[in-house]
Amino acid sequence: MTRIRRLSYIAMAAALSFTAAACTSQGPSNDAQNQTETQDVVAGGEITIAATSPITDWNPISANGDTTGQRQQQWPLYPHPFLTLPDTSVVINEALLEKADVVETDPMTVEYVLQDGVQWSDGTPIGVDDFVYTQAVQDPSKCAECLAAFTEGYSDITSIEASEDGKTITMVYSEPFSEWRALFNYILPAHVAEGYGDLATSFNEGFSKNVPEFSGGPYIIQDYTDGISMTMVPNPNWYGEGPNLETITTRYITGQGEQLTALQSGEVQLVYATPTVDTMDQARQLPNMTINTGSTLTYYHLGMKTTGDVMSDPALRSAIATALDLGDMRERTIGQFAPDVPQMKSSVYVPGQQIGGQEAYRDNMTDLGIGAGDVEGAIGILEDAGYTITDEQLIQPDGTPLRDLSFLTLGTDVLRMEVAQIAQQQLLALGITINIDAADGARYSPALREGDFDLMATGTALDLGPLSMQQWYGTDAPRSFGYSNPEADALLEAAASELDPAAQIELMNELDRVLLGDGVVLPLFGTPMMAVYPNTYGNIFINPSKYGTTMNVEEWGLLAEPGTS
Amino acid sequence: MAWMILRRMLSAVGVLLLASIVIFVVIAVSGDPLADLRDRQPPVPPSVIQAEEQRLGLDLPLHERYLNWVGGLFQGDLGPSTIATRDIGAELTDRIGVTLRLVVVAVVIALILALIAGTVSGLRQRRFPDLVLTPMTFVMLALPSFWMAVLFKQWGIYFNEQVGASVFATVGANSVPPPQGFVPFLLDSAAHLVLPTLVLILVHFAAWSRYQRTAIAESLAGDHVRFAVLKGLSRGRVVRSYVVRPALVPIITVVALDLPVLLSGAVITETVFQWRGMGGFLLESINLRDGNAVLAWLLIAAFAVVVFNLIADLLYAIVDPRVRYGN
Repeated sequence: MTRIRRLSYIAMAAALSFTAAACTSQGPSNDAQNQTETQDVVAGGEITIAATSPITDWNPISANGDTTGQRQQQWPLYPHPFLTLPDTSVVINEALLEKADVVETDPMTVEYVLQDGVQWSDGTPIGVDDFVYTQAVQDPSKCAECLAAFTEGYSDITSIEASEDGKTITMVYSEPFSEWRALFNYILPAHVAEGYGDLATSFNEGFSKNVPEFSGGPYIIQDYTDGISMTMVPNPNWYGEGPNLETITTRYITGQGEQLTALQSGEVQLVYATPTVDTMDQARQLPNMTINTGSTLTYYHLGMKTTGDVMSDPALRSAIATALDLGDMRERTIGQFAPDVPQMKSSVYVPGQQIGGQEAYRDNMTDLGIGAGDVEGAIGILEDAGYTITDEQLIQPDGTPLRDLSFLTLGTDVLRMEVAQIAQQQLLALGITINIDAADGARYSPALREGDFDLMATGTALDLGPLSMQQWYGTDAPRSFGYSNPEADALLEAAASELDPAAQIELMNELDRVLLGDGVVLPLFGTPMMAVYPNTYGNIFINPSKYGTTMNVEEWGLLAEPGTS
Repeated sequence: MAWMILRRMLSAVGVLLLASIVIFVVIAVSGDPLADLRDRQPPVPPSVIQAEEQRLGLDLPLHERYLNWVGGLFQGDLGPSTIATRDIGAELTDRIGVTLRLVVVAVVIALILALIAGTVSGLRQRRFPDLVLTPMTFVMLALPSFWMAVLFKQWGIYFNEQVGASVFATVGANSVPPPQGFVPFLLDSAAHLVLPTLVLILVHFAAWSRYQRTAIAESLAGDHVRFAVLKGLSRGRVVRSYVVRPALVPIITVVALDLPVLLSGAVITETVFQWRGMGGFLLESINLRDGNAVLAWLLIAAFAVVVFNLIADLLYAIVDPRVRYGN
């Protein structure tokens, strides 16, 4: 061996060992937990959050601005009447309101009582004008050109008035609207809107295109560099407690893997994302980190078409629902990285969900024998309906073999793909062949809406209670794929206008049993989320709402006693 | 020469027009740009969808949309983006600047190193340093660039951990907020530039040095070189004028083909190191099904191809007298 060759080998060996050292974990792995208790933190410090997408529309209630990432990033800038706690309960935002209640039911009248001294960052009081403006831009009868994301409920408000001292704001609704707490989730400043022009111009142009120089929340934007970062500092006229951190910077980094690498290198301090097996492993290898995991009000579920040549047969749907082992699906998917996220046995509430301080979630599946993986039971249902299984092929009552069933799923979503593959495997026992239709984003949604499937995997956000269910399962609803049941329609309508939480919970659970009985929905599990951050920080929680983790941003801070996280 | 440039420009316009039609049609049929909006939970009011369709011209026939886009180009309007607040032209300008910052240094260094290494390897085939350079470049060629980028990133982090300071930055082109003062800013920029530049240098050095080595080897075997040696010219002059100079033609071609690709976005390097350049612009625009943004990117890319091919033609004439005399 020549000297040169020897030198090359030594150089290669050194490079390989350096690579191995760089790629090897440096400390003990972290355990994931669901931290929800408030901890003692100190004032001062800063944090950089990794976010996937920059702000493309600065109006959080416009159609283009109302997206997950933008809602979360802009939450600290606005006043909000209600907050969702990590346990899913919805509580009044005591920084803004003394109280908010339905004071009359016919017509439905809601009273908001503002705290003393609530104001925008420029010192203008937060008041009735802001509520009036926020309602008007989301009411098509007042502003047809306003490109609002959501108009339901707002169009039912017939009047908004303030008491003489301006503290009490009274709203009258033309129809009872049970989800009134979900309205005014971002209150826009009327005095800023005035400077932008009329209703449509201010809403579509002024608030959408301009980086906010105002704030009604704990933080205000100090600097925004498009696509690079957003820096927020405390709002000098914030009227609530805190905030603790002196600077919150959002850094735009695409890809979870890149975000975790940035966390490792210290360039960001918080990654908040939907985990996968790989990213959870990556997070566990980072030393001195807290990993919070939990689930949200958005849940994964299967669905079956209830119309068409074969799926219109309730016996077939019932057999499929009975044969599928949904617990096994959870175990083999999110069970690998988020074992604490339970299997859902309701399609209308997530486990532990509170409505009006009452436990709303019920197991409506077990009694119906759904999702238990009972192949014998499923075969019995099929045989009773005239089906037979011959040569591992399901034969229909008319003697013809059942055609292959199409399972529509989103090809880019690993979880949905895995769920489809497990379903494919499980239904082989019934002689049913599943063809997985892994659609891309462009084709998936239209195919779903057009009912171009037999089975499907999707997700539903339950933030709006009955309205969330109505969009799928109401007759001719916006996302309807052909399902129609007058009983479900009646229950949806009743629940949407039921103001008593206990009665609404009963109606929703009844609706759940109807939907499960029809086999139109087979719930799986809540969407898991993880928050990974250095263990010197506290009070960063998994927030189950669609508004994300910044909901309690004023409580975030450096731990008074590091290491207690 | 002027006629050649004019001819090239005219043919480039034709190519560009054809490419824009193909891309326009492909994007138009590849998916609904409003799919995300239609998929919202709770559903967005139908009036909003209708307004967006009108704003993007989706309610018009395909040919009319294309003609509107071409018409807009002459007025400096690159068309509406699927993101209402996005100014395609302004964003592209920023992105080109970022990509240039990343690419220019890397290209210059890679080219110089490749020319030196390829020439030395070609002149000293199967002897030192060719015995070291050849396996080294093959290893670099064999490494996927994304893997190399990720590896360098990990090395950077590991190095930082070992020295207890952020010597190498791994995210973006600058820290947030960027440091105040010229020198701190320069050092911060350098800290962000080192790793992605190294990746780009190594990836291109490997390929270009192999081309140069082959060209030198071929040149060495040429009759003109034997003739120059027989004429008794000095070794230095033979190498400079009879070996290296003719061997520059292939590398000019290769670099001229690679540069537009690089300027259109070093997609992988930009993605791994989170540089907001042309490559990221293209990926984001495709994800958003933002047809006008993709077309604008295509215009820049096509322009770069035309310009660099033109430069290559001019350089041929400089390094190879036959081209000049032929014309």
